[in-house]
Amino acid sequence: MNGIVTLAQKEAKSAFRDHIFLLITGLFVLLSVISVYIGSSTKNAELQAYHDIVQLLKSQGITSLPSPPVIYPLSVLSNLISYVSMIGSVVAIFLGFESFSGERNNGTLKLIATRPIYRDQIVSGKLLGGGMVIGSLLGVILIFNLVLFILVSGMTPNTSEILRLFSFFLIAFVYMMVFYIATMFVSLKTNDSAFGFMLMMIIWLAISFVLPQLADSQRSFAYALSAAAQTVTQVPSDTVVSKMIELFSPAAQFQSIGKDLLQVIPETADINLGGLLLKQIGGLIEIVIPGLAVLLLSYRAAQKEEVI
Amino acid sequence: MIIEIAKKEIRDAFRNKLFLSILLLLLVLTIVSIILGSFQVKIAMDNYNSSISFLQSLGKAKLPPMPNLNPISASKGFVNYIGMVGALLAIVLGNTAISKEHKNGTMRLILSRGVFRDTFLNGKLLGNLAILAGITILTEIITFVALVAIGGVALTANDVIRLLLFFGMSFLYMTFFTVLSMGIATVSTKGSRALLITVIVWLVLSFVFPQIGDTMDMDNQIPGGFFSSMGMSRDQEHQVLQQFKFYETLRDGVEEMSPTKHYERISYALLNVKPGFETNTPWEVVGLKWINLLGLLAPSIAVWLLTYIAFLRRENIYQSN
Repeated sequence: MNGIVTLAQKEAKSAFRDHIFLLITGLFVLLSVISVYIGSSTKNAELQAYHDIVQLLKSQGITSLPSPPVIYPLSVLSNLISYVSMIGSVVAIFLGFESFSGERNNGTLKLIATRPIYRDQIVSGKLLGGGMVIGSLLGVILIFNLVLFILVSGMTPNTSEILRLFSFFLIAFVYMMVFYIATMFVSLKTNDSAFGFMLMMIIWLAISFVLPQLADSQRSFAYALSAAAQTVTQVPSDTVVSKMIELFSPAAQFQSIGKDLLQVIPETADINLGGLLLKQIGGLIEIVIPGLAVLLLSYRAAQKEEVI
Repeated sequence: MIIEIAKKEIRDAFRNKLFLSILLLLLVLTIVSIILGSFQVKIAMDNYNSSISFLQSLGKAKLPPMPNLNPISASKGFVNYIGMVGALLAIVLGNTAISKEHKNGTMRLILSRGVFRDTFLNGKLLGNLAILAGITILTEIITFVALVAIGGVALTANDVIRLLLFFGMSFLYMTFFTVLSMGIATVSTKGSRALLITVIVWLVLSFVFPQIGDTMDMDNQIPGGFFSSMGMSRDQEHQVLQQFKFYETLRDGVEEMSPTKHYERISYALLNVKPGFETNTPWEVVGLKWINLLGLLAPSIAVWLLTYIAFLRRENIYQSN
């Protein structure tokens, strides 16, 4: 157990000594923190626009006024969903792509293997180290977001909303760990760090962008006609094909769960947390299962490799 | 000599597994998206033809005119794929062009021969641009064949010019990322580090800036549009937005920093995905969207000039990494 903790501590220390990792991490933390500010400004602008609209309509002698837009507190933080899903997963890739190949190239992996530590403990140590780094990053973002949310938006989240926010960060942690584990596995199997990194970037692109985009192209669109506005708006709805494509994308599942938890979807904004998680149980399993499968493969690869 | 370096560059690219994997992904996506788009055009055509046959069987003489099917919008999905996969492909090409020479020690070897530094860079750029041009032409041919063979539509001369211009923009967009990647790899002393930095810059330009712009878009906050939900007409919407001029300028400014956004804007205008450009000739669209064309060209030229300066002045070039 001591060996695992020592390895984990070393992993965390070396991550925070890497300038490039600090750069991408800084970007992730900065964006996540300012997302509260951008979200609040947009919502405030929206409310201001509503008041302007009411004034404009009143000046035109119109008595039937539109009802004010409903703003759910956590929806101010909705940007976090994209940042975790896009940049967060890249942070995990940056963290893990040299976890084994880097040590192997420097010759330190052999050195570690000569010490009284089992190979599965090396994998566990790396996993724990990665978990510590990702956990602390998300912890910092959570604290900043919560404080800034109260200060900037002037709203105070109730217990249910705080629980939703905590659940979101917990799922974000699992999601980022899945990418870290997958990158660790690729790093175990390849000697070329740059190749492993780009391979993971291709996988990330396919999961986070290509599959959701393909699914989107297969949605059917209903046209909503607004007589007052004289505008036609497209309202997308899922089809069997679009749902099938999304099944292969943990990013799409994460975004769907995130939107529900952060009250982006008005229909699920008032459901209790238990009911919400039960509704999204399929999506949660789809995020966890690939991670567990790759983790098992990593243990197997580390055990079977003759010269680690 | 430039041609020799360019030829070697092309040969090397087709031996690079990573480049070939991304190229394969891009081609598969192009084929899938254009086939799906062409089928949508074909379905619309079939629906129109069956309605006409039905009306004719009823003896109606006054038949509805054919709706504007806008067949070139079948390439809409391609804009997104080039925006992401094309950019990544360009990054891999640009980075490998320089870092492989550093890694193998061949840069010192080449420069110790009668090859000037600018000739070396020009040859590399020419080779990579030839590869990008080849990819663009290949996807162009696939698009034309699929539209005619699957969609069953006859493209007008204007449609053909619009599509050709659109593919030209795709080439310019990928060129920017190749130049950027080559530039960073030239300045950096370590190829792998240069790749990571380029990926971070790409993320900022292609995801972060457009994402911030989208979030700051008031109309984007409610499904179906905020102003539409308020029952506002387009004129009233513009009237209200006048009061948020600074906010809107700031939002637009953030988006203008992204070449991806420039590429998307000019492409959607050329493909008639964005309404308002249907009656313009293709060259008029380019004229109206000159700022987006400049947004694609100017950064490439600026980065390339900086790369020249950095490479020509560099003193530790013979130092091993």
